Amino acid sequence: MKIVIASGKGGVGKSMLTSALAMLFAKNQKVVAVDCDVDAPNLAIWLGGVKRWDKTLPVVTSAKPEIDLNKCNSCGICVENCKFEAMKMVNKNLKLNPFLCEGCGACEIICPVGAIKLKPVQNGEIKIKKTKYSFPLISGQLYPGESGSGKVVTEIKKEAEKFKQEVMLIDSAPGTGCPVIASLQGANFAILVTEPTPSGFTDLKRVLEVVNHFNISYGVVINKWDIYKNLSQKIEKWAGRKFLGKISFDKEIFKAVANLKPILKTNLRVKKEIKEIFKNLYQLW
Amino acid sequence: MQKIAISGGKGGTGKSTIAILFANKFVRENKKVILVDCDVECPNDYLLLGQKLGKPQEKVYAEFPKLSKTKCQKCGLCVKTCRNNAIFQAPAKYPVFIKDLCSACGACWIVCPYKAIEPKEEEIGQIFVNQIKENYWLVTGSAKPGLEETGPVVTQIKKFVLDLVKKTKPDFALFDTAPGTHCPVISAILDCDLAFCVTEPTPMGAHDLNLILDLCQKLKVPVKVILNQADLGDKRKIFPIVKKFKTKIEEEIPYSKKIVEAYSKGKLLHFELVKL
Amino acid sequence: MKICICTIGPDLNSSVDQVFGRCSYFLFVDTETEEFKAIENEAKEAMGGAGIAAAQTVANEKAEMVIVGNIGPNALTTLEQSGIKVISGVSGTAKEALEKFKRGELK
Repeated sequence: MKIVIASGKGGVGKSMLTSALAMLFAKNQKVVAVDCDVDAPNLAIWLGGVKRWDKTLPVVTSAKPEIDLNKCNSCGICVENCKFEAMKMVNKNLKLNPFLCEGCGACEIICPVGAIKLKPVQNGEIKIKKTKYSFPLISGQLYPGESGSGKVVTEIKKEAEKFKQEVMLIDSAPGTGCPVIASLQGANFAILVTEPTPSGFTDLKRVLEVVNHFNISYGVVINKWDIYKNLSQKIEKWAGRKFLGKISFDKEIFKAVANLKPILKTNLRVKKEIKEIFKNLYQLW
Repeated sequence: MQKIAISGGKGGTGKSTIAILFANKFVRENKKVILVDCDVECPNDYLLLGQKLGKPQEKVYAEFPKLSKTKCQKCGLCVKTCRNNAIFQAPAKYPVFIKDLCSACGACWIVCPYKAIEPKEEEIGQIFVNQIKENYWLVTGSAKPGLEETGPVVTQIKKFVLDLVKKTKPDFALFDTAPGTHCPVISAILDCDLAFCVTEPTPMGAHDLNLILDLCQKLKVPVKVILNQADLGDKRKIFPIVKKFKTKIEEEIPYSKKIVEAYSKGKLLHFELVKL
Repeated sequence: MKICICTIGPDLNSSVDQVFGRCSYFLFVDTETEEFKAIENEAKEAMGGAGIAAAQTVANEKAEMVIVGNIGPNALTTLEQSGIKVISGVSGTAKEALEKFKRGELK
């Protein structure tokens, strides 16, 4: 069973919910928690923080061109053909902007004098930790400025797969682009988290388009439901039978996480609300 | 004209809110401002300003491969070339292109010896323009949901804005970015004169601030840190990071119920930066 | 009939791999003679689209059927569209899977 927690909009509570659900699942089932927000991985913090990871693995899922300036005759054909505008001719010297390069290799193919060769680069790492709550946490990191976030996500999931647990909880990145698509691939269920703001609702619908594209069944959770109750009701109605539950806004959550205290180890209202969501989750699939 | 990016790494720290509050402030100081929503996967600034997106001012296209079966000799070179593995060919059949995996890089039609693959333009995004006040424009970029590589959409929007800049001659162009540090964020920050990195006083905020400051350093864009909801959580987590990158906290913005309400109701236009 | 069993090792005693695109080996087995050929999956280290690259190997070997634990949507559609059947949800060793298949117990 692979469950993805996604949202479209950032900062609506995906990691908080994932951490609490992982601890709830772990009571009766074998769980692995997976942080696929490789741009900004925070799940470990919600689980009390990790000082030292058990294992760190390099990820090489990107390639960048190397230019042999002795061979390059400054013809500029590669510049014309790079769809990502990563190649520039500066005073007849070919320059690569590595931050725009996708590593597709079009330049290598088109170069008439064979001056360009693609070389693999390490663009991230995977980190593994057996948490004190008896389940493993797999996290990953795309190095800032590197490309290939979706590919790092795929590698992390592959690593998580090796634990052969019954439930895999995947905390996805915000947005709808490659890391999110890679997170959703092969999932059985998606929990879509939103907040009662026009942006939260609009982004929920956007991410749902991607979820539907993959034909994944889903449920909806409203976080901070009480900051705008009217809109909350509207979203709840819109979600209909897919509605899983709501979580109240509570400034105390900030304090708990600042002290690295997992939500389930507090006595906040949110703990009760997430337990309710957990119960409803079982009924929905 | 100054080009300022508003970013932050972590989602939901208030990038859009801060971008709008800055834009409002500059406009009130009688400056001309273009606010650009570069969060093309989830653009929201228009909602927060109580605007509607009308007809797109411009569409963004990318070229995807299309096979001409009369020319294709089934040689399989395109299959071997595609680094995204987006082309599949059953024995003695024509190659098929798998849209979900294609990054529109064009390597396949470059390599095809029979010119059997033709680039075909397809819409990947849209650009909208709202004039909010006399000297206040909002440019919104929106990527087609399910699009893999959204970086090129951002690059196109920035080009569009540079054209608009020539016509309107603003004092500031503010680029509100997506969360994270990957391609669309890089495209948005690249070539800016300054980046405001918005964070929150939590371990997550601190962790992700480290990443975005690292990225800006690599992109050689100077940074200033803005601490949002500064009175919640624990600020001490942020200090060592700000110090590490030899920058400072430019503004501390307290949690404000009024701002949260205005945000929810799309009425941010009426607010300015609130100082502690 | 030539079938492809995705495995973690190069022989019939190896377990069926739970993933398709990044499985370790493909065992191409002749169901009548039980003769087989093991091919290492090069797509295992692919940067992306491993499922499609793996499907390409299976298609090149002209297998008619794939037996595996799980398979992604892209690879599944691609295989099915080129007339290759897929049986997923299989575990145990390749030998057990082969026998079950011959008895018609795999669906």
